[in-house]
Amino acid sequence: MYFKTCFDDHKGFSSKLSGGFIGAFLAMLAGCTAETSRNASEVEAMPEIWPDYVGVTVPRNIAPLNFNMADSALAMDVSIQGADGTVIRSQGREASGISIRQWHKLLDQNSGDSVMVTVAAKYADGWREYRPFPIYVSHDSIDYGLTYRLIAPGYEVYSKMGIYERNLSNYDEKAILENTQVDGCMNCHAYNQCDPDWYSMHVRGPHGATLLRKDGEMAVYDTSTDATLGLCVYPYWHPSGRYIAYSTNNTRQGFHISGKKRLEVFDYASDVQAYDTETGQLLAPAILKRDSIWETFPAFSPDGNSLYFCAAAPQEIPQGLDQVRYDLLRISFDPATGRFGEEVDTVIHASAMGKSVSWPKPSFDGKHLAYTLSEYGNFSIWHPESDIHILDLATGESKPMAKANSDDADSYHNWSSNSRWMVIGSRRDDGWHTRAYICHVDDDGNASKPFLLPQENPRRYYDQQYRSYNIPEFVKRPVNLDKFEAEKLLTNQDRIKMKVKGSE
Amino acid sequence: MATQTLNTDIAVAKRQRQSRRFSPTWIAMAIALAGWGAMMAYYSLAYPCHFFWQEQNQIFLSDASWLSGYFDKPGWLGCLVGDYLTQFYYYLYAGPAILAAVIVLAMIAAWAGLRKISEAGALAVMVAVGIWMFFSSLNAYCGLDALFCVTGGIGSYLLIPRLKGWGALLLPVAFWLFGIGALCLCALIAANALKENWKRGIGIAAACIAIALATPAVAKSYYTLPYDKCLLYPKLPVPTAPQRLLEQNRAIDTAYYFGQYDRAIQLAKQVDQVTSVSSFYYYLANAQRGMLPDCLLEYPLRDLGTLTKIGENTPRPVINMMNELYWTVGDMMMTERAAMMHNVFSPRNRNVRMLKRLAEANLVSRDTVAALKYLRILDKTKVYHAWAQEHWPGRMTDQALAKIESKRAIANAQDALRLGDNCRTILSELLETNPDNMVALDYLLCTDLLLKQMDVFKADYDRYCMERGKPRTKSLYQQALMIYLAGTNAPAEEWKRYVTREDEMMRFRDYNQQRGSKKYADTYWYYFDATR
Repeated sequence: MYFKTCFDDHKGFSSKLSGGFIGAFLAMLAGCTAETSRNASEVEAMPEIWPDYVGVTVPRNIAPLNFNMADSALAMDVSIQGADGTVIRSQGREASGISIRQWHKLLDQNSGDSVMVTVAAKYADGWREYRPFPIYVSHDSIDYGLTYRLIAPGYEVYSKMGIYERNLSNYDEKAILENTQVDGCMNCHAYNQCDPDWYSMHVRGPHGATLLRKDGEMAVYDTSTDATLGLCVYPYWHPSGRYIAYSTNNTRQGFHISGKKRLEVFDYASDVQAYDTETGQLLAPAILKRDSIWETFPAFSPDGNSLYFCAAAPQEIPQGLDQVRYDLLRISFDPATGRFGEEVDTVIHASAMGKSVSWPKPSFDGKHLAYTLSEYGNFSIWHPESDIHILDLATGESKPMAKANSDDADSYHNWSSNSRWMVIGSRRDDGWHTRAYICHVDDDGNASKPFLLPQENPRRYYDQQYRSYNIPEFVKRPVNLDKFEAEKLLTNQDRIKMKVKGSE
Repeated sequence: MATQTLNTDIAVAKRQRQSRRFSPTWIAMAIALAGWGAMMAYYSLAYPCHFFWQEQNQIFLSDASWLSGYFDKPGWLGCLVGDYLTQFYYYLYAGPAILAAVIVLAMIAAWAGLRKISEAGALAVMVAVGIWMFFSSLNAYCGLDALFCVTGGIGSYLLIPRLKGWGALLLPVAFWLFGIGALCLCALIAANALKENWKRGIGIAAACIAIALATPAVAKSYYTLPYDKCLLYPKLPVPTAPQRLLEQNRAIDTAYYFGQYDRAIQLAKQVDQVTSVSSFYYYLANAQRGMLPDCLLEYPLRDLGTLTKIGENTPRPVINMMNELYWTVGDMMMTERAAMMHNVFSPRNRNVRMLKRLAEANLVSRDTVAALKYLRILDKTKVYHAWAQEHWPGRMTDQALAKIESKRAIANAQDALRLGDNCRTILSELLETNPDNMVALDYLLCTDLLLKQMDVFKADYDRYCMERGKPRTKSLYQQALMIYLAGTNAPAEEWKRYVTREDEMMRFRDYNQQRGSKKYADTYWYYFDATR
C-alpha cells in the first residue's frame, strides 16, 4: 500500500552510511523504490491536506500526524524538517506514511520549537511541491493514552460497542471492555484526574450496574434508590478518591424531521448527588434535588472544596425544549464531613444571555474551567452551534476557545492530567460522527488549533469508522482492567445497593 | 507356462480395475459430485433469495484496515474467506455454487481425514458432515463464515497427518484461524489417535479436548467474548428444516428491492401462508402505483406497517420493511433512523443495503458530506462500486439524479421535533410539506379506515383532499364517506359534495337492502359491519 519510507538528512548520504549497515541498506532500498519528486513544479499555496494539520501544536510524544491529500493526488512525498536541519522523509500513495521512530526522534529534538512540513503531490501532469507549513512542538507532553466509547451515532440503540484505550504515542487501540463480553450498553465512564486505578463505568441493559474501581479494587453497584430519580450517571471523582458526584436523569430523545440538527436528547427531570465510597452512602441534599430545578453534570473543583453543576428551570417538553437553558452553579463541599453548603452560587448566568451551559470541566491545576455553550438544552453534541468556552477561575472572565472551535458541534471535552491538553468531541468533519480533536491550552487559557486523533491512514480509517468517539478521557497509563473479573462481577447478579444518607 | 502366467496377470489386473471402479475413493467422489449438483440445484431452485438476503446483510471491503479487523475475533481466516465469498451471493447462481462447493469441500476433507481409520466409516461421516452442513446452511442465521470455519477446521487435519497426536499442539492455531473449526480438528485428531492405539489414544484424545477447550478460555479476554461464544465463534451451525415461508417472504422483498412491483404483488398472492411481510409488500407495491385504496380489502391480512414501531428488540426484517416504508413515503429522518438500526444489528454492524439507503437518504437531504461517507465505503466493494460512482455528488447519472429528485419533491421541508415513530404524525407532516404525496395520503387514509376511525378519516380527507379541491374518488373512500355521512345524518348537500360517484351511491342503496351479504365482501361497508 505504501511506498517504502526512507530516511534522509541534510548531512548527506555519507553520514547515513555511518549510521550503520542496516540503515544504509534500508536507505538504498528506499531510494530504489521511492519515486522522485525532484522535478516538481512549485506551488505557492499550502497543500490541501486532510486532516488539516497545518499550524497545529502537538505534544512531543504524540503519534505521527499522518495525513492524506484532500484532492485526488496519485502519490505524495513528505519531508519534515526540524529546526536543526534534520529531515525525515516519507512517501505514500494515499497517506504520508511517516515512520513512528523517526517522528518521535525528530519531535524530541525540536521540543519547544517547530518542524516544517513540505508536501509534494503527484498528479497526472507530474509532481507539484507546495509551500511548507509548520507543526509546533510543545514542551508539554501528553498523557499515555485516550479512552473513549465507540458507538454508532444514533444514541437509542446499540449492538457492538465498547470502551477502548488508545496509546497516543502510536496507533495501538485495544478494548477495555466490549459488550460482546457483557451484554449491555457501556456508558458514562470517568477516571479520577486521569488515573485509571480510580474508575467509574455505568452499564445499561440485562447486566446493568455501575462498575467502580477504587485504587485498583473492583465492585459493582446498583445505584438506583427509592429516594432518587434513578440510576447514577455522569460521574465525576472527588480528587481525594473518596467521593464520586453523579447525576440522575430522566432522559429521552427526539428527532428533528428536517434541517441540520438530527437529534435532541433532553431530560424530563434530573438531580445531583455524591456517593461516599467509604460509608457506602449517597449524599443527596435537598438543595441539589429540587423539583423546581433540573440539576445535572456535576464536577468537583480540583481542591475538592466545591462542586460545579448545571441547572435549569423546567419547561414543558417538547414545546419548551428550546427554552431549557442551563446555568453554571457552584456549591461548597466539605470533604471531611461530606456536607454540601447551604447556598448555591451562580458562576455563569448563561440563561440570561439566551444560552445554555453543559459539561463543566475544571482543569486539574485549578486555573480554568471549560464548558460547552449552546443555544438550549444540555446534550450539546447534537447542536451544531455548540462551542467550548473557558472560564478563568481567578478573574471570572469567560471566553470562547476560538481556535479550538468549529462551525459544527464542539462539545464533550476533557483535560489531560497536566491541564495542558484538552480533548474535544467534535462533529466538524461530517456533522454526524463525533471525532476526537486535541488542542494545547496555555497558562492564559488560549487554545491552539486542534489536531484530529492521528491514524496511520486517516482517510481510510475515518471513512470506514462508522462509530462515534464518545466521552474521550485521557489516562496516565494503561487501564489494565481485569476483563475476566469485570465480566464475572457484571454477569453475576449480586450488586452492592447504594443507600441515600438518612434513609436507612 | 508363460502364457498361463500372462493370463493370470491379466485376470488380476482386470479384477483390480473392477474393484477400483467401485473403490471407496470413487464412491466418495461420486457422493461429493452428486451432493454438489443436488445442493446447487436445490439452492438455485428452492432457496435463491436466502443468498441475496445474506449478501445484503453484510459488507466486505477490499481494504487492509478493514481486513485487519478480522483479527479482533477468533477464526479470522474462516470469517474473512466466508465474508469475501458471501459478497458474490449478489449474483444469481453464484451463491448456490459457492455454498455447495464449501460443503462438498468439508465432506471431502472429512472423508480424506478419516479414511485411514475406516473407509466405510469415513464415507458415513462424510455424508453426515454433508447433511449437517446442508441443513445448517438453510438456517437464516448461519452464514458462510461459520460454515467455512468448519470446513477449514476439518481441512486443516489434512495438512498435519504426519504429526499425528502432536497435531493437538496446533489446535490453538486452528482456533485462531478457524474458530469453531478447531473443535472439528480436535475430533479428527482424537479419532485417529484412538484408532491407531487405543491406550495411547485415550491420552491424546484427552489432551486434544483439553487444549481445544482451554484455548478459548485463555483467549476470551483478548477477544472480549464470553467463553461459550469464544469456543463456538463465529457460530455453531445448527441444522434446520427448509424455511419455505421465510424464503417466500424474501422473494417478495427481493422483487420489491429490484423494483419488480408486479412480481412482488404476484408472489405475495402466491405465498403458502400470508404473513405481515407478504401483506406489507403487497400494499407497498400497490401503493407505488396509486392502487392502495383499490386493493386494501383484497388481501387476507391487512398490515400496512403504519402501526409498527421499531426499537432494539425489533427483528431485522421488520426494521428493513419499515425502512422501505419510510423511504417510499419520503421521510428521510425515519429512513435514516431505521437504516442505522438495521446497520447496527447486522453481522459486524454493517449492512450493504442499508449503507446504500443511508447514502440515498443523505443525498435527498442534501447532506453531501454524510452521503460521501457511505459512498466511499460502497466504492470499496466489488459489487457496489459502480453504484457508488453513479451516485457520487457532482457526477450523478441522470437516472440516479432523477430518483433522488423525485424523493426530494416529497421529503419534509419544515423542521419539528418528533418524539416517537407514530406513523400518523409522520404521514401528516409529510402531507403538510407536500399534499400531492399520494402514497403518504393513501397510507394515512387507509390506516384511518382500517382502524375504523371515521371521524379522523373524514377530518384527514377534508384537510388533504376537499380543502385543496382535489377529492380522491376511489371507491374505498367514497364508501367510507357514505358511512360517515349516514352516521352523522348529513344533509343532502353534504352527500352531493362528497359522494360524486353514482355507481357507488347505487351500490350503497343495494347494500343497505342486503346488509352483511358476502356479495359485498369487496366493499368497505362490509368490512365496517363484519369487523364491528
